[in-house]
Amino acid sequence: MNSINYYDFFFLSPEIIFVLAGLVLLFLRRQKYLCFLLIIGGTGLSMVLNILMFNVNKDIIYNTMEVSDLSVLLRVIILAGTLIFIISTKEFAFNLEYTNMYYAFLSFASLGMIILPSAKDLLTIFIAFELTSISTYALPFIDQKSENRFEAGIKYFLTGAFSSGLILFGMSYVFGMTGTLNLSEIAVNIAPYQGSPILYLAFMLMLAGFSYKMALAPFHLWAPDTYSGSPSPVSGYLAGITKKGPFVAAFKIFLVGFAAIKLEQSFALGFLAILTMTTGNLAALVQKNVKRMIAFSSVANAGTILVGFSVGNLYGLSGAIIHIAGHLVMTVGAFMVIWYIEETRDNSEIDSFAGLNKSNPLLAISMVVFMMSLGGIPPLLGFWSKIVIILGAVDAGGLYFFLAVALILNSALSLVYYFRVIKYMYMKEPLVPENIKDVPFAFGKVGIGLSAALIIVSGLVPGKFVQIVINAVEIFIG
Amino acid sequence: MDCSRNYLNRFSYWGCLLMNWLFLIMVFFPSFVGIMLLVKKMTDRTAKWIALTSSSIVFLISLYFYYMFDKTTSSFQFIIHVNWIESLGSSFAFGMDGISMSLVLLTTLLVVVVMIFMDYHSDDVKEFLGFTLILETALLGVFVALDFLLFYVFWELVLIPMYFMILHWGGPRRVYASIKFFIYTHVGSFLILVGIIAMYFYKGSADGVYTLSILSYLDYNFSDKFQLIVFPMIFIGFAIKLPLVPFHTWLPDAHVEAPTGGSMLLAGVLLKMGGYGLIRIGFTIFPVAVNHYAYIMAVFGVVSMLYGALLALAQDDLKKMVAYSSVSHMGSVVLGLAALNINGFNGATYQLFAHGIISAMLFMLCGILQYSFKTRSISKLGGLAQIVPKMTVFYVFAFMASLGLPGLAGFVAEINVLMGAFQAFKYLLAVALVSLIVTAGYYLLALQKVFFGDIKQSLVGGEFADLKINEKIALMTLTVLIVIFGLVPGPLIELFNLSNLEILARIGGV
Amino acid sequence: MLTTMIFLPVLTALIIMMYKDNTEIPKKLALFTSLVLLGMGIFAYLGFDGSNPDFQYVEKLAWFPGMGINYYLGTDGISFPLILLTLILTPLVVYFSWDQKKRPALYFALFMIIEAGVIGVFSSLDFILFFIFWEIVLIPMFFVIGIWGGARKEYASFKFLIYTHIASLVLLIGIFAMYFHGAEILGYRTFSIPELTNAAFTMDFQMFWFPVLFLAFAVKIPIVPFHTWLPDAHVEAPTGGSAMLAGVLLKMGTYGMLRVAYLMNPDVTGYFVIPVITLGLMNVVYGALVALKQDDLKKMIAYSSISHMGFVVLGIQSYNLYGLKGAVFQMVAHGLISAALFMSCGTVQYATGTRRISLLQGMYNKMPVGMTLMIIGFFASMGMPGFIGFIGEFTVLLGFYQAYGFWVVLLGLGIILSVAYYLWAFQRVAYGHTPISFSGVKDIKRNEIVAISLLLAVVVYFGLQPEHIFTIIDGKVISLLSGF
Repeated sequence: MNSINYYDFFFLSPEIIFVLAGLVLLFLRRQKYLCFLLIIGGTGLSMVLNILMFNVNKDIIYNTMEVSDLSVLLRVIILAGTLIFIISTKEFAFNLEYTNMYYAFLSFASLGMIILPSAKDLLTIFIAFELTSISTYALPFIDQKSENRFEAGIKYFLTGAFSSGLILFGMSYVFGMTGTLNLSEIAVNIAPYQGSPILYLAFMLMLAGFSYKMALAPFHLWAPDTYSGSPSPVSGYLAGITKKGPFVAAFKIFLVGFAAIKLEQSFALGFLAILTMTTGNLAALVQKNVKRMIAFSSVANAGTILVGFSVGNLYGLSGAIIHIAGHLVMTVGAFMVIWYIEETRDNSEIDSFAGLNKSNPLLAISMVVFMMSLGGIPPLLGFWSKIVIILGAVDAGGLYFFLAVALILNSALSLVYYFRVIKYMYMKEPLVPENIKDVPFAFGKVGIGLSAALIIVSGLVPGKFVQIVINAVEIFIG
Repeated sequence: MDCSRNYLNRFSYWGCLLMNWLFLIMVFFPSFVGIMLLVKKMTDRTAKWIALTSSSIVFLISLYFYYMFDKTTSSFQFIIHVNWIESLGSSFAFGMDGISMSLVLLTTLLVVVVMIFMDYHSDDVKEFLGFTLILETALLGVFVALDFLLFYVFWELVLIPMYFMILHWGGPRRVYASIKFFIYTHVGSFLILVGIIAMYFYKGSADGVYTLSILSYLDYNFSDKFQLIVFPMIFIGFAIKLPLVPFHTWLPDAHVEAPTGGSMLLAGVLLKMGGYGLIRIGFTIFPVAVNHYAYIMAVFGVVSMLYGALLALAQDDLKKMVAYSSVSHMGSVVLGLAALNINGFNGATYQLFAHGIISAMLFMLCGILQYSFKTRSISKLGGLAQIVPKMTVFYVFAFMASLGLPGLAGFVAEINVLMGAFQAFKYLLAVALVSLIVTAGYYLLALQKVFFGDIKQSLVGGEFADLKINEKIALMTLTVLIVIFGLVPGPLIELFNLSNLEILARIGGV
Repeated sequence: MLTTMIFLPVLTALIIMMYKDNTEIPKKLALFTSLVLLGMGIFAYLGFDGSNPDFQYVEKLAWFPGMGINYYLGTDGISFPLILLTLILTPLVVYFSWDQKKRPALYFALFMIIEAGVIGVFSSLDFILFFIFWEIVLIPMFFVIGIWGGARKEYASFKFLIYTHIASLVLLIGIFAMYFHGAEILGYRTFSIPELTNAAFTMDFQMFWFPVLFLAFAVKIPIVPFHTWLPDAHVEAPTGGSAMLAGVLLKMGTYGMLRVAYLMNPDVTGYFVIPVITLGLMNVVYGALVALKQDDLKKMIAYSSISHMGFVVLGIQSYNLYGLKGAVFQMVAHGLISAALFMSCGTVQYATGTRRISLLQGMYNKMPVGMTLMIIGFFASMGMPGFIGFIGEFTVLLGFYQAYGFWVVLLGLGIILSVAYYLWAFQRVAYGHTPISFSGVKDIKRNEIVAISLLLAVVVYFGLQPEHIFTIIDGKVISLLSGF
């Protein structure tokens, strides 16, 4: 175990691909198409390699990383989302001045994102985490046409840095208590500290830090500003994909490392979950701007995922992971539609969506799929993830039951604003055609269509996918 | 159609089949014609001839049934029994005993008279005739149905054409009157329905046979307690239809607003449904309760008689007066029934028939008067004998018939009722007699004010039409019948005597 | 058979959507498909064994075996009449909407999806599948109200969506509770409705979950005080939508209540007599009273729906042969009649541009055919014998009497009131002098006459021959009750 053997390199190959791709991309200033092909190829290859690692389940590199079904699954989910994202943002990227930088950032961020699910010790987690954060700090600024990019970017950067500090602070306490960075050893060593204030302090610090990152209420205020200020594709990436990083990290640290105080953390997470869902939904309810609305909705969805973590049993965790996957695809898709609206109609106010089904029926129907899936209408993916989470909560019984009720009420509440978008698209008269610009959006449409198709297909045939998740989680829980 | 089930094996198989079909034709043919009249486009004249012909055919069929009717037995005849709604224990069952037979004759006869009388002087004659024919089916159905559900179907079906008659051809307050008529009688229907449901389960849970067939209840013994609870409900249901004071308030409104043809059938036949139901369901199935409540019912009857008569006395509207006199006469039906002896019963059933033809004649006359003089107000009329002598003759005759002049049909009924009541309740009879005096009073007063004396100033010099030919025929028909049934009551009494005796045997009366 | 019935309309809907700007093909396709389905329905009816209490036309495929979810369809004496109801109504509603000019492709596609969803609800034997169809039905209805609705369509469509959605989520929790509880009893996890029904839940479980499930379905039925979405939805919905909503969608509530709340928790229904009866009576009487004071013709009919659905609830709560039979029958009856009523109401609105009773007057002179069809519908709905509504109400009264005796008189209040509001409304609308503003009003159109008359013909036919429906229901109901 104590040496890096030859196979470890195979297991690290997805990461290595991103490192290489990122480095090469930095130098491809002019060749936009090459950049595009490179990143697509890299991500695709990395995903394929990951798929090959199923059913391996072993630790690598001195126990700092693992290849487990769950980690591979999470990686595949993230990479698939990234792939769709890259395809659909092709037009956006090609309009940028520094297309290669954009792809390089994505490449490095993806590197961090795929290390996270595998990481087994605090340091690796933190490094992977920061890798993603730092790569994305620049993204809100990347489109120079965007007006609010400074507010968006600065807020994102400051909260990101501050919360990293908090997390690091908490980690240092943990290290002090346990003398190790390895999560499974922490879990063992921490047990004697049960009831000690230091343990709780460490937990609280980390929880606060992660809450910032995950944009949980009441730490969520940066998120809507950032998401609505950034270019929409970037918002999609931040809200849909990189925000899943902290979830994965928190999931590992809390569930594995802090297993000793499972009850307390479950309570804390549950409380935050209810608060987040409710705040997010209520705020989203009053938005007139769809982009801001979806921003708040992704705050609310963070709460939904957290419900699954709080429940913490087989179905709860599986549901959370399915919801991570579903929300990733839906958010990316929704933000891409919003971007198209912004490009053609100058803004993302809800009025701009009026009569979208007349001018772009396929976009409209895709948006309907995203909205309904976010609202949990069957038989779409969003329905199944919520079902599995609720299943877990009802299975756990007791107070978790109220979590299920809260989730249900929030889900119903959220329908109001999701369906408002649908209402505008289908029930309002469209804008006069002169006010609609024409922009190239072929790849965007492909990406959006792909997302919608994924949601529909996985919703109609949920058995396979959900079962894979449940099996992986079962192995993880043991 | 199952002829082997025929209760009376007087007919061969084919004969039975023929009778069954004839029976169904008698009941349903009018409504087919009626619907055709409503739906098809044709002139009023054609419509009238079609309606007259078809109702005459039905009348002839009913006469044929009367001819075939076996008067030596009390049991039901011409029975038809077809499976219908088996899961509710309901069947498509028809049949007649003497009481039904007399009322069937009354119905078919009166419809023909209405058809003769109906002239072209109102709007939408075609539709009116159509509704009349549908009403005929419903009325016949009520009198011949031998299944509770079927009975109830026809019972309610009666409301629909009557409702439209009042609503479409009625007087100024027709909208109010029609809905009041409908709702009042519907309340009564619902009470009857609850009673039926109660019987259904009581018998069903006792012997396991859940059935709605009326025949299987006629000799079923319900417990005393059950009878005492359910009978009042059913009694009130029928009393509303009858109507008995204090459930009568719909009647004057309905009559005043209804068109003449409607009033004739309303008073002539519809009210009889209440009496018929009371005999068929109330008195036959609940013998204990009938004995228990006999006196109360008699009081209701007497109060109706007196109250109706007094109100009639106070009326200025001729038609309203006649309407209240109907209330009064129907009270005598209840009094006769409550007497629980054969005189009372025969009197009551005779009254159903007699009042049917007499009141039809009265309402027809009211309609003719209204048409000629554009008013029915007693105070605005006077000395009509000099203006319309022929009409006056019929008026005098009809009033006399109604107030019970010996030798006319009404007298036979009343004398029987009074004899029965005398046997049963000595002192109540005094009240009944008072009401007879009042009846004589209001009729004579009306005669005097309207027809005799000086001609009212406002009527002098006006051109007022006397009777037309079709009106004369209609009135003459009724006149002849009233006289015949007054002088020769035998055949009619013979018709229902045995049925009444059997019912009385169950009740324990004489 | 059932799979085809569900997916053929979906397929048709997809094809219809391709003819976006065509006004002819969508409606013809929709009518054709719905008639084909009706034909299949009649075929299925002929092959249906009414004396067999088991599920028939069963189809079962593994769908999500890890969690015990199957694609599991089948129908029995409770659901089959409702499937037939849906099959009868849809072609008539489609034909009634023949002149739909505004976005016809979407309109007819949505109706196809509604048909598919409703048949799916009635034939699902797996809870997850049931729930999916249950939710799917909401979406096309939301669009139908929201796109073709009246002035306040947006408010109404959202209210409809949110109310019923919250209720269905409560239902979802109930389903999960049964899933886990059933797993403890059966020893394996399954969402199969028949297997869970046979699992015999414990008393404690039933005591807690029966009311929850009851409330979940109560919103859909709707039971007062959860009814407020219904009048809004109806008032704003287009005529075809109202006809489907009242005709079929409300039946989903009572069907679910019977299938899930009652049949799965049969042991505790006796403990909830007083609250359920109170609610049911409130429905009957309150609905009728409110209908009485409505000035909007459509709102009046909507409240009358509430009143009549109360009969269904009371029939179910009676839980005896006649009660259950009557409840199922009344569902079919009310479905057919209320659809006819909403269509009539739609013709009035189309012809005059208003539904305000106080503005309408003397319409009989202008639209004699329309008014005739309307009053026939009214008579059918007020429970006049000879129409299907009477048999339904009568059977429920039988059941109610058998269970609760003379309390049945209270139901009479609803029956009498229904006479009052219908006749009163009819008289105000049809009689009197026609205002000059309505002098140009034309009688109703040919397709409307055909649709409504066919519907009324069905109403009369089954009113005179209810045995055709009872034979399907009886076997199932008798076997249900024989266990007690």
